[in-house]
Amino acid sequence: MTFRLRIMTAILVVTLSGLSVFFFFTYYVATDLVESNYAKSLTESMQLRMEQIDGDMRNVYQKTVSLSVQPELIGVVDAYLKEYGQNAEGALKVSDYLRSQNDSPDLIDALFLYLSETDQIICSQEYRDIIEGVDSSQYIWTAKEGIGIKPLVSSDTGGDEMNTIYLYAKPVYSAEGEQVGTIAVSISERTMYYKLLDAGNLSEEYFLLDGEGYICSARQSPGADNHVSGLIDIPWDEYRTEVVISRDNGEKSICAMVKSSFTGFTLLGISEHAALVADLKQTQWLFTLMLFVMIILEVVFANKIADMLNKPLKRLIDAMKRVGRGDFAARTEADQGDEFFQLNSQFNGMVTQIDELISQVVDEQNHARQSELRALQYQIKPHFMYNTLNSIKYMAIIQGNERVGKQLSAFIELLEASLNKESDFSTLDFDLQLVKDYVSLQKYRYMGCFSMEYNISDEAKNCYVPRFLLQPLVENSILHGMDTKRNDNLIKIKANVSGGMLHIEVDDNGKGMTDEQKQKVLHQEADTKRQFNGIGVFNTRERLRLFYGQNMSFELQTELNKGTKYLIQFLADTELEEGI
Amino acid sequence: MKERFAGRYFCCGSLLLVLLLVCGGCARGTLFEEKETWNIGVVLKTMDSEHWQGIRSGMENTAKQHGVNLTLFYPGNEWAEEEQKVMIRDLLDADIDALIVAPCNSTNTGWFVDLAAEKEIQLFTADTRSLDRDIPYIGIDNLEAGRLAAQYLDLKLPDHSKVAVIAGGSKQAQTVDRISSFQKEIESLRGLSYEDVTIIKEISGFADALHASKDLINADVKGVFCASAVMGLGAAASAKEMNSDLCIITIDTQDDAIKAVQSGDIDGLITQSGYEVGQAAVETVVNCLEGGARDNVYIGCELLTRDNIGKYLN
Repeated sequence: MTFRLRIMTAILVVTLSGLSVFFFFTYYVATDLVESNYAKSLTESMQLRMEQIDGDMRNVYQKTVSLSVQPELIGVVDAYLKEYGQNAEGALKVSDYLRSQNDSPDLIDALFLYLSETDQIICSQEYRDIIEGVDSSQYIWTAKEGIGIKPLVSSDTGGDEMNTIYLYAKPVYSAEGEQVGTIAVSISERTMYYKLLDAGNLSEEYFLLDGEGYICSARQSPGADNHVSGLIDIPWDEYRTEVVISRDNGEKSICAMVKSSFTGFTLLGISEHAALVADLKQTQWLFTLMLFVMIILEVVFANKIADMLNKPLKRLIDAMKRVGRGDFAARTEADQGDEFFQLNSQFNGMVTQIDELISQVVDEQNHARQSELRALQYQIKPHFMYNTLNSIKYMAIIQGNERVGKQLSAFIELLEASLNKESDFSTLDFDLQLVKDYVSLQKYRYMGCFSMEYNISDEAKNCYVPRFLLQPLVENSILHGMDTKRNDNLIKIKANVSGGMLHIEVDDNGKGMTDEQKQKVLHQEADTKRQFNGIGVFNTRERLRLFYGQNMSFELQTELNKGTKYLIQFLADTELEEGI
Repeated sequence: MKERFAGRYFCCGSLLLVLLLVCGGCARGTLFEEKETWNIGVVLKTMDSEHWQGIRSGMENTAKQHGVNLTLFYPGNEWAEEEQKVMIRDLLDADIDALIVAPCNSTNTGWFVDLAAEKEIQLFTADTRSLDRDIPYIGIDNLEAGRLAAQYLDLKLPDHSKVAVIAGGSKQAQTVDRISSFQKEIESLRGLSYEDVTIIKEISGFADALHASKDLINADVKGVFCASAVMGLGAAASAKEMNSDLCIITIDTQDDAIKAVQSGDIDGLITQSGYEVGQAAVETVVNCLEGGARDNVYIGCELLTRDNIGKYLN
């Protein structure tokens, strides 16, 4: 997976996760809020309904109590039983009286008076003013000492339709204190429902439950044994509101229960959850649509952002590839301040350093190769000459030319010494012997136009010096300093030890050097193609520097037509640490 | 490395799942629940005046604030002793923790005291105390009210002026207390014997008081203490009708009586806030049910006149 793809994936995953969580969280919080607010509102509304039910029940209860102790009622009963002889006219009088006591016809359905002596119920309703032969199992209230503050839920006391009613009943006593009957006041279930329980919409429904959980009022008039447990599966006898899931269809509903301590009734409100969150569902679709739009936008933006982030990395990778191919001129650019700038700077610096190191290595390798070639060349030339000269020397001796033989012998010794690679050091005495051999050869060449002068202390003779220390200097004086037109050319070599240092002077009275020649001799390497070369002097100086470092000095004093003097000093050492 | 990344993805995924489950969980379960609370029954004497309506309002509002259930009944009038008996009996049969009664007959409370004790229901009286049993009482000190009325009439009336009391049912404690303290105080202030103070009892409403006051004015009575605001207003109406300077002092802090004081129709009004009585009654009962003391609670009363009623209302 490329870096760019990773960035895109990361952006998409993080953003989409965040958006999804946000949308879902918002939806659920909104749902929860709506449910909570609705539950609160539903509960408050049901509390109000319950308070109104309680109020109506209280009014009916108080009306019943008030009637039961009303002296007028006793008078009406007495009159019916005694004056009218329990005839129909008397019953109508009682019915009229009861009807006259109904001061809340919109609430009170009917008033009933049960007379125990005649076993009759006289009703305030004209169409069924009297019920004879009362069955106490059907009219429970007649057989009781009244009903307390909790109303009796019963079927209607008569008529064709067996409707549910709520009824209060109280015993009626005569002036003598004997119970003559029972007065009852009823409220029709339908009256109560349409007055207080009709929600007005199909998604919400209220049920009034009696103290045992039987439905005693609902949209559909409740039948017998209609227990609430057949409707919902929650504890109905508690004051609570909760979300329940239907056993039948799995749909959610909000159920609220409000209980009355007065009547013992429980008001159950059931509201369809789907209707409640219908608007939220639309919002959920809108959220989903927004999510898809956001995904598309997110892909575009993520692509752009990934490109932007990947660009400096790509430049860096390109530069690395170029460097890998050997293009050390490759460099990268980045905006200042960020991590990529630091990375690029480090990379550029590293490439520059590598480039310099490689150049240095290449130079060193060139130098090494050149040195090796030169060394090999030096090695071959003397051997070739040595072998040839040995042959010539023996020919000269055979042919009787002793002088030539001696010259060749000196030259061969010189060559032998130069070819001896066993050690880089020799004593000064040995080195002077090489100089003398060399001078012997050169005197033959220059017909003795120069002379040598040696002033060497014994202590200096025993000091170890780098091999061929003096020969190059003497050679330089002979070849470039000596004036062949003169016979008084003198080369003086002095050496002594002072203060732990070996002091050597090689002085000639020759032509001397110009400044240019002096600089070439001191600093330039040999130019083998030219006659004049300072390789000997340069090599001597360089070798001393390499061997002794800061503990040596090499000075060249020269004056045109006056001569040249080499002043050398370094640590005097008579013990050879490295064998000759 | 891959395992580490897998672990991170697993953690992030788990967190997301938990969040979604928590969010999902928010939308289910119980949304509202009310704990079991106290059930208090109340039987008042009547609801025929602002005073009693104030008591009911004070009780209902305080019950809501404390989250207790209140079942309140009252008979048709304050003489309906039998009616009240039925209500008290029914409430004592119901599932209540305490009962507050304003008895129509303060001299016959023993039966329901015993019944309440049998059913372990705590019993209290409000507005009207019991005369035959020791039941905690919440209301004003009616003895103090009688004294305030006597002191005010003594202050306002010339020497040897006739004074009278128009009071309610003679079986009601506040009538007994107010009359006795009034008589005692007027005797100590003016040297009038009990017989010198005209007492008219069993007056319950405006009309009764109006007719009684006319008789008193005709009898040259100069000052009258009416035992309720409704009676005071009846007396004021008769005084106005007969153009009399009858000095009227009454009791109950209700709006029409306050206006009558402001207009000068009633000279003095002893404060008795029905709302405060109702409020204090429920608070006291709740406090007792939760382990507090079961003592009498007296609500302060003061005398309002035309001079200080503005300050009182402010």
